Amino acid sequence: MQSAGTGALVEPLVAFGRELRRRGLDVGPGRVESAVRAVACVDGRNMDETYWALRCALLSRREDAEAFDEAFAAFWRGMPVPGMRLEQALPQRSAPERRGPAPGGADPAVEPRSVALSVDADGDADESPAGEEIGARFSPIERLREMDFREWGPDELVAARAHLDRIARTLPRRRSRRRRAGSRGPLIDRRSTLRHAMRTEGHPLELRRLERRTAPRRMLLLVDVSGSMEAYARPLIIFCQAVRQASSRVEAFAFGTRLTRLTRELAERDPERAMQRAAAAVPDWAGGTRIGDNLRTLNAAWGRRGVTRGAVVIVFSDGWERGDVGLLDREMERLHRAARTVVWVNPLAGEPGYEPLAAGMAAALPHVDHFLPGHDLASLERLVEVLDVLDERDRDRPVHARPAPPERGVRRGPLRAER
Amino acid sequence: MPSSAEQLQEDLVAHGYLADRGLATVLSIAIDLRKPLLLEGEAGVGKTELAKTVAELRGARLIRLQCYEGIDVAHALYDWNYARQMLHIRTLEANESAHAGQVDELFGPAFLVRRPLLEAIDHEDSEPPILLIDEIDRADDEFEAFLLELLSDFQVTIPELGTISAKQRPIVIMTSNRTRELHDALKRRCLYHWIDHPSPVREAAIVRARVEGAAEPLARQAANFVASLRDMGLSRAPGVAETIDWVESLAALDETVLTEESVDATLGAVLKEREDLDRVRRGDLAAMVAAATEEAE
Repeated sequence: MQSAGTGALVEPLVAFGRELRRRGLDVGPGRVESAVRAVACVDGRNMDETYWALRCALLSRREDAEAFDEAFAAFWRGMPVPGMRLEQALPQRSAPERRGPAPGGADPAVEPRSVALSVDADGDADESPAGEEIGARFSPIERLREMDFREWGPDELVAARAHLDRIARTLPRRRSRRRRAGSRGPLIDRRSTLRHAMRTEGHPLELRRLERRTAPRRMLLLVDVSGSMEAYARPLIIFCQAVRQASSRVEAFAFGTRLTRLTRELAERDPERAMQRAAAAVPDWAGGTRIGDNLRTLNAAWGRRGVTRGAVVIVFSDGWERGDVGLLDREMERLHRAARTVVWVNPLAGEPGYEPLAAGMAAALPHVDHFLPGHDLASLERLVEVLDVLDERDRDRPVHARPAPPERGVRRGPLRAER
Repeated sequence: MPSSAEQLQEDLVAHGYLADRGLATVLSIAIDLRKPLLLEGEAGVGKTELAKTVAELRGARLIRLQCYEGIDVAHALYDWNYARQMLHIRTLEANESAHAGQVDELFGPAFLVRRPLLEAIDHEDSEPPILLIDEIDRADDEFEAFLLELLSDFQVTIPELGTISAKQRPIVIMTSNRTRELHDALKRRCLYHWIDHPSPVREAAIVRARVEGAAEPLARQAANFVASLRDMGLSRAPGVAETIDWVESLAALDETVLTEESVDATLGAVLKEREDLDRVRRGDLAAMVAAATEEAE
């Protein structure tokens, strides 16, 4: 009885899988196969059970649940499933949360906003007229290193890619709980010691030891994509993508008026495609900034899952807060308490004579371990230097980077806002 | 005749676990197909509890593997009892009675330390055991890759003993608190289900099933109160386990309804962070209690 029912289901389920893929879910043939088998386990006339059977086989992330529900309602409405009525298409969920449009509502595929992010369409281009463009394309990395991000065009983004990758790979590492066989270390590797004892007729003359391995430290990248940061956001997001490529223990978020997780988008290998996906994911590109609000969301929703704990947090922002500065102060404190180190990278800090006068910046500074400029490649290199020094040392001891070139007016070490 | 999912849901309820239809359906599919079930959800929504209940109602053994950072094969699968091997060698030496057969014994079952994964595969139980792999997100990539291999064919190779494969596949339940994203390859091996916080009505029912002597109004009001706490964006939102603890403490104090005083005195059972406690106490506790009471009417 099962096999007969299963055969008839294959075709519609393959089509449903295609529909889910179109909506951005990761559904391969393996998932469809397991969906066919799962549906065969339940009472096929019961739409509720069919829904759950399909869902547990085809869905693998909670974030996709809404897209799945929409696809389910839209797809099965047109299919001749015996005994199914439209209002049955979605089971009653016990949980109160059921956001999004009504079942079978409008196509949710939001047109990706390709504003400032997409590499070709941007106002920056007018700053590099045709004559200079060729120069830029072949410009040696030295020139590019000191070039302000605001002056970057598409060519600079391409030319800098390898350099950004190189910077990103020099990430901070830390000791891991995992161990490997080695010659030093406090623990004895009994397995290996006995194996080696075979050579000496069973006498364990040589003690083999276990040493700790190193693993990439958890990193959390927060990029301000509000209007005032627009000119910097693109190179910074490409940098985040490079960091994400270099390590699996990286979380990335963009923030403006709201917080958007970009970890998945930046896992895309090709920087250009990653950029497009990130642009499509951020709903409030070049809008306002509510840093405190966003940090609260981050601390509440992600901090509990351990994203902030022990992490190296890097905030890329000019500190221009349009929300509640008191909230920013409190949430930065909370973030700082959970994190290993908080680094604030402010593109404006590269200006000669910059003072952190913006109210938001002044409120955040007491909770920042390192305050650095971030307007060109050279300053990103310095960021890596700062992180490099940071090993298993006590976080209360300030870690100083190499002195900055004086003309940049860089401030070092833990900083208090000065008025 | 009820479907197998309906039947399972009833059985779970009879054993004190109030599962909704979705969870029961998914679980019944996982049992039928012998596919690992990956459960995600906030801490305290009853992921681990589910595995315990399933073991209980099927009369099966529960084998639990708690994951942590740095867990490896020696902790999860098997290890040799080196100390015992050493002693054995010395004894043989002292008796001067060693012969080839006794050396073989050194790597025999007597010296094998069986860890949870080996227990789950190499079992003689008539009812296949429930293997609970708890908090898989705490383990690292290497361990995930190892699990992936194990979960695809349910067999392991111990060089000294040979290949061992499961006569009956265990029922595998994995839980994750989502501190990190799991590998897609591992997820593809599993059925996936997300457990949400229960609705206040269901939570009250869970509490009453768990706490003996809890008055119904108390359970309803406490569930409403906890639901409103979860909406406050606290740094650690209470789970179902906390609600149960709380009602237990209230019942122990012979309370039958929520009052501002009793809430204030016992709030530490629900909220485990000082700043959360401060925030709730600074707010209008009386109004929250009143709202929770009103909703329960």
